Amino acid sequence: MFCEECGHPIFGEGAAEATRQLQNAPDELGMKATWGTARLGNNTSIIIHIRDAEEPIILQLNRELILGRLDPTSDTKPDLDLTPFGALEKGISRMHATLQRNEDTLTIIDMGSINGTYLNGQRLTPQQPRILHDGDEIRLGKLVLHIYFQ
Amino acid sequence: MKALQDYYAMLGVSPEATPEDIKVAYRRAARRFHPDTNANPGAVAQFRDIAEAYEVLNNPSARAEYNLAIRQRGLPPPYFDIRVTPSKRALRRLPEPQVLYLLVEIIPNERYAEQDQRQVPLNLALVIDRSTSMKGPRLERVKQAAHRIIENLNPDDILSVISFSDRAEVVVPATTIDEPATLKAVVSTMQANGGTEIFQGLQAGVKQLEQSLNPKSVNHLILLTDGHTYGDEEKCLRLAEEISQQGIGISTVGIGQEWNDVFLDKLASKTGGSSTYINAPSAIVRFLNERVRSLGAAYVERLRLSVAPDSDVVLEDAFRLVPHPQPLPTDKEYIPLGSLEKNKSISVILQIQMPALPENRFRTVARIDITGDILQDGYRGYKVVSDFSIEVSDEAPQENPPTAILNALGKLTLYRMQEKAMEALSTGDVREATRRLENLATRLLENGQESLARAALAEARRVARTAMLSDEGQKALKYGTRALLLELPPPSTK
Repeated sequence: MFCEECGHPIFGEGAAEATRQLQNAPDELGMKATWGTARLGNNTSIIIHIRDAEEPIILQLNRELILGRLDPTSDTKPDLDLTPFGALEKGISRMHATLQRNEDTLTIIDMGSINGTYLNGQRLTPQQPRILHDGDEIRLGKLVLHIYFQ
Repeated sequence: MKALQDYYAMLGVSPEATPEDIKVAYRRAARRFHPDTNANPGAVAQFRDIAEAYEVLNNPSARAEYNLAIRQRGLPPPYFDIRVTPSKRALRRLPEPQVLYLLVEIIPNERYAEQDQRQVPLNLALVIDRSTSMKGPRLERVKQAAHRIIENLNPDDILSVISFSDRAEVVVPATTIDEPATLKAVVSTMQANGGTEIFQGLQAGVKQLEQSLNPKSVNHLILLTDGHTYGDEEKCLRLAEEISQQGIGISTVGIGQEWNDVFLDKLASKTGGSSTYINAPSAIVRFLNERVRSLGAAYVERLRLSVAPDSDVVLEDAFRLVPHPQPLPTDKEYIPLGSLEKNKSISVILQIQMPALPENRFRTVARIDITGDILQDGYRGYKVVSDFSIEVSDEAPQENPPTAILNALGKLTLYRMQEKAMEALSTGDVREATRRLENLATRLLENGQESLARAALAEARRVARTAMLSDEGQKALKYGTRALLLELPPPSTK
């Protein structure tokens, strides 16, 4: 991402024209770290952007929310049914993962799903909670979603 | 005590997994890391772990016994965590290899790191060069530093002091600090005289450390030298490798301009230690005491990183950014990282080459694990595993990499430019070396590093004129650009 010959940054907008003298130092290009805050205030809403879905899902979470796929033949049912987003073909388990609100953080727990839950690319160990940050990317099987705090 | 391993996490299955789930998970993992298909050095370690986990979990009675052990003893608490941040969240589908950077952070879990005064004893050997060139202020400062270390150590810490020239002499045999005044008096008797044979000193230091080798201690050797060692470098590196297995770390300190930086870097990195350059003798006291303090603040020792890329992925390079900027060896099963302090994360940047990616899909990249010994609780081999995947897509967004990675790579590039200039010079390409040094000067100036930029420019001129660098300038640039990494803002915000 930086030329090792001359040290020019080669990414983003100016990438294709690396010979041009860039006026901005790389840290002034208005970049944002991928992860934001982990702090979840009392009145913070949680916004779930599901890839290719038109509308984001906005919710006030009090305790926990089970993400999964509704299966009429099964007794258990998820709090948020992902069937409308192609849950079956994207390999989502009936009980896939739980979002859990704690004192001032939000955690995600994989519930032993077949195709796994990934947090920013890292596969989660089943049943071990991980803290979510604003802007994190979650993948359930092949379904990608982003979590924002607002 | 060997830490109870979380076999379920190693296989990536839930504790409620059925025997069939376990078989599937094992087969999937074994396909990725079996030595027959994956030639990456790190894969060996991962495959061994996976096989060990499977052996227990696949056998009903062994699994029941293991579950009982977990219930009775409990799994160790999360002493530290790994966070992996990629330079891109998704990769473009491309018919040719592309580079991906991973920032690996090892984050101490404050709840489980000892909060009060340190409990962990130090087993420390100071190995001091007393060759003729150390005569005068250098040796005097080293003695002063040793005095200060003796004052600051706890009574139950163990210290030995070895001086060496062409032979080694045990000045202070391994001892607890019962009589600091006597120890200080003995240290004061050291006289400079003779040549420099580092192996002699190392070997004598290791012998002292071995007498009190303790898995619950920090066992560390600090080597101070101002000279080149001749003919015994290979022997030194072999010894470093051996003692790294025993859990002994080496930190090296080069004083002045005449020592071999490449060699000392290698020596330290074999054990996860640090290597440092001290220009002025006056800095010796402060530096050494800081180093001993940080060793004493460790709560995890013998920390090692294993990176197992998938069989078609290559780990090209690894560099520790903080706390001790240092190139890391990538040709071994484990990359030693030294110790973890309770309030200081360790960050390592990995340069990874992804193969041609012909289809859109999610794919695994590498499995990364960190193993270490938890000193306060006496757990050996505590392990945290992270399996990293990425999306390959035609629609991969053109987003800029996270700031933390950009900042780190920006600084690392300066270091690499310096290295490339040295390389060019060593092959005799004076014009190329001059050009690279001039580029480096420009970049340094843009980064607000005026004095380093001036040094680079002065060296560029010197190279153009004499085809040689000054020893001083070469070390100033190498350790100066490396030190820039220490000024990085901490990557993770709480």
